[in-house]
Amino acid sequence: MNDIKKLDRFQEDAIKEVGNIGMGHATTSLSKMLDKKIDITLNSIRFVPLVYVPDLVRNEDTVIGVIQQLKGSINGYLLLMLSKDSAKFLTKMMLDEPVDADTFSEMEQSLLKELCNIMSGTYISAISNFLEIGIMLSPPSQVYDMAEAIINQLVGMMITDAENVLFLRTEFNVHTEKLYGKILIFTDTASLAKILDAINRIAAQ
Amino acid sequence: MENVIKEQIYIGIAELVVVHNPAVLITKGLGSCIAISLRDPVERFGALAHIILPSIERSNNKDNPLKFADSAIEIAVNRLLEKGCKKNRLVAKIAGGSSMFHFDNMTINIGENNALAVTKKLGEMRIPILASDLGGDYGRTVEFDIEKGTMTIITAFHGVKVM
Repeated sequence: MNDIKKLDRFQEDAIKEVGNIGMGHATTSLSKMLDKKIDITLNSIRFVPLVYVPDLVRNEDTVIGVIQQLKGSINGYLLLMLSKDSAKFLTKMMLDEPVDADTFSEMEQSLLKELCNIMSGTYISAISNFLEIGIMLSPPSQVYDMAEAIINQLVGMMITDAENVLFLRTEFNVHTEKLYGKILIFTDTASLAKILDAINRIAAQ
Repeated sequence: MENVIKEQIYIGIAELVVVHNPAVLITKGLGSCIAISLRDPVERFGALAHIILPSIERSNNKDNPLKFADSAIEIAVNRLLEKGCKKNRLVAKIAGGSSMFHFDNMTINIGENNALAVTKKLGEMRIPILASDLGGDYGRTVEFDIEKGTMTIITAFHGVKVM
């Protein structure tokens, strides 16, 4: 079960579709809160050695990152990243008080954490229901830092246990506004095997 | 000399570069990882390694020794010696090893373990650590200028530090 080396086309497409389902639900929840139409813009999947992951996320910007551990049948992490402008756009829409252009107040931070928590919760529960496997999320940990450093830290946290990683990236945006974000899923090979089993089960139905 | 555009070389996770002056070795977005610079000021060779785990001895997978603090430092030193550097002239500077997020069930601090392993290995090899910038809860980008021997640490909100 741990000797998956490569994904075939069907497996890749199926996992991408799982990402789409998750993101579809997550953006619907955000869309309702903002009353704006949100598009899913990019969906990519890689199964690569962990040390290659930073190359897939070359991003020098400072971002808001909300990280949650994946638990239950799946081991790994979920990272929701919002650009600074996107995070500012969200807090401006939700808060009546004026917001500073460069820093995030405690109120803004807790609001963003909650928004991200709702999105990632919806994402994971949609995937969990679809695949019929139990996936749970830890409470969120939030950072405002260089995107590359956030990824580096995640890779560091996973590398003691995993050599390869399933890296699923789904991005969303609102065309009319400066709102752009992404959800990244990192899971180990054993979790990937469980996801593939579930997909095979569904495909056989 | 200031007008000369120095070559910039980017170094990823589990990579090591050993080059002669002039060059600037850069590694971006360090979290719990550590950048280790080594330099022989006389031969004007420098090295930058980017490690992610403390020890090859304690790891099950030993495929890439450049991933680990202890083995990567040994390899870097050996490559410098092959270039004609002298061990007693080598000096080190180190940065990274932060811990950016916290979860209730997290028992080990990888950044801290990496920092301990790096300082231990350099100590064993009797290579003096001239400067270090370790720990904290924020990311770092590191630029190591072989000519001057300076390490520049760039952060999002904790300023820029030249050491």
